[in-house]
Amino acid sequence: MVVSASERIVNLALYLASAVHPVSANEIAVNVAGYSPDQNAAAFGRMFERDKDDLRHAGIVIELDRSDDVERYRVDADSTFSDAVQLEPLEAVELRVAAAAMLADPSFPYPEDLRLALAKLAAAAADGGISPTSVVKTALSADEDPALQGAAVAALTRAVGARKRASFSYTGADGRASQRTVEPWGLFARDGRWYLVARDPAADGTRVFAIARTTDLRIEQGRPKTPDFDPPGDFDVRTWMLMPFQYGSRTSEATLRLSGPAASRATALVAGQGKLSGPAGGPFTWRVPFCDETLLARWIAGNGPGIEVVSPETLRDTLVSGLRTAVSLHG
Amino acid sequence: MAESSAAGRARRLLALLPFLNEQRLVPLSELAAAVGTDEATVAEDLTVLSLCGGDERDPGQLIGVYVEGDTAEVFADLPAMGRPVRLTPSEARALTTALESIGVDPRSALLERLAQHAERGVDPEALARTVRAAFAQDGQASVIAALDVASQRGLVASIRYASAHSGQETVRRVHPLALHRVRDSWYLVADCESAGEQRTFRVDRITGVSLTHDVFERPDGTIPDTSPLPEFDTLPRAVVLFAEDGPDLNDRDWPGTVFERLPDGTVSASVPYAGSTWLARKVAARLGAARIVEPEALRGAVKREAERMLDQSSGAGSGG
Repeated sequence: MVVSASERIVNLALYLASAVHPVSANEIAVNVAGYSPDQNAAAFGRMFERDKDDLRHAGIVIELDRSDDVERYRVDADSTFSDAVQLEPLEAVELRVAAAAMLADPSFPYPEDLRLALAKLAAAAADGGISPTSVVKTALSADEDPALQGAAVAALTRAVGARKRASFSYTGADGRASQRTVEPWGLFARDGRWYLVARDPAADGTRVFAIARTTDLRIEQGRPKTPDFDPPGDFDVRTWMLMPFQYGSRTSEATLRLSGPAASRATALVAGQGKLSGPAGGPFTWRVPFCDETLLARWIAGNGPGIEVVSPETLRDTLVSGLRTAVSLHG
Repeated sequence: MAESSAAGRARRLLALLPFLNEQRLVPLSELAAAVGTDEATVAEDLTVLSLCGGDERDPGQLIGVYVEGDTAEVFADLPAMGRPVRLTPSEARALTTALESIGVDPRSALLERLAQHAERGVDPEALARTVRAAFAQDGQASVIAALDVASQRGLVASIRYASAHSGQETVRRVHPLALHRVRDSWYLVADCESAGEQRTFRVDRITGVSLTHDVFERPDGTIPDTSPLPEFDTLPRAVVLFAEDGPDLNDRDWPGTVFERLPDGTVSASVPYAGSTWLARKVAARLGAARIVEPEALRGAVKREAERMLDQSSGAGSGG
């Protein structure tokens, strides 16, 4: 009888999980359907290693026992199995809605992992009530070539995790195309686009690339278990999620006061930048670095009401004189 | 580095096992919902699983499952692998990223609790240091969850909504019909009792929601297709003159706009607009670097908007 690779992997999981004692590779070759007793040792060894890797990627941790001369294997039950999941009713709804939205979103990079995560949680949930159903009708986090962006982000996420180089053609904002080979450090989404933060050795610097402007993405495939580079230990992609007024070389600090409606959506407005302080519910003081005073003044005008300049004085002057010009232009 | 199709299918088969660990009849629809696939695929997977077992010499080790019509009969206890398996790092990342999209912080109690069901060493906050789908927004996830519950149960919701124009909050009774996520923003489409018509609300401007015991019926019993984004072809257009070109004069920042770069360096733009408030604020926020050419009524709206901003700005801070 022909046994498919997926059946063989399941058989191996069942055999290892039901074994009372650790089992040798020879016992596995003889007892698990899918391995052929006629296989030579090298072919069996390669197949067994691949299958162990696949089980590892499914969350099944296989322990190696070297207590005697023969290597033996068993499932590490504590590292593999989980207890029941307890969720508050509102948390279960949050999980349902988030999952339903992202599974409907063609730009979401990890749909299969999300489905499997939900299946595991459903199996572990006391009431099982986390199937992804909701009234979410549209979900389009990235709206330019959403499926292509999602697939590229999925591949780059694996490259970030395995620390493998990535190559792609990149069309800059000036319309010029160039070939890049970079060390991918992190990914973030903002305003309908995914971005890659990577060190570009040719430019000897860290750059932010819009995924929608990349084509012909390739991840280095050689020596998959050997990293190509080491990112900085303190890397945090959030520090690269700058606001439009934060790009430039000379940085100053502004202090803004967020009250009323701006206070109620303060965390969304400040987008993780600067330092927000104040009592719960506001008003808040926001100290934020900026490089371009005019763009910050425009941001304040465009995101109010409820955002006021405390300092510097020049920022308030830029805002006030600009608004006076707008009044006179439309008088 | 990508997973092979056999490995992917094996992961799905393994995910089904904990649902087959006790003798019972179970609808295929239930299993399909649990593993996020369709009934035909589940039926095929169960047929494959019925041929799987731990020890090929022992038929008693085979998985005892049989598919009949739209039901699976589990007729023997599972020989092994009946307990739920911990989340892998990539599954934990998928959950973290999905929950970020509704505003849940990676340091939230929910993600901390889910991390306890992941492999040891998996830390949602550490995952968020390399991939970030959205910024946390205080309270937004619970607002979205409450609106979803209200919509699914047909319960009238009372919302506090902050006007984009004045910033003033109003309390409205609404019939939540559908939720949408476009770019970083969530929108609620609802029948608004106060306005007497269907309206679209930005969820980040809903500062509170409570469910009433009053029920409503959907107009046609379905979730409406109404998009939160306007159809540009049907909208009126304004002519806006920009003093200079810039990287933000593009279709993303000015949806549906047609730009014409003029020889003197200025840019003339035909801008579709659904409401004068939106465009007036956007032009006023250019701080004199943009001017409405027509229609005349919009020029007045920009002037009033700029004056309102000026009032607020002039009265603020130590140097006010």
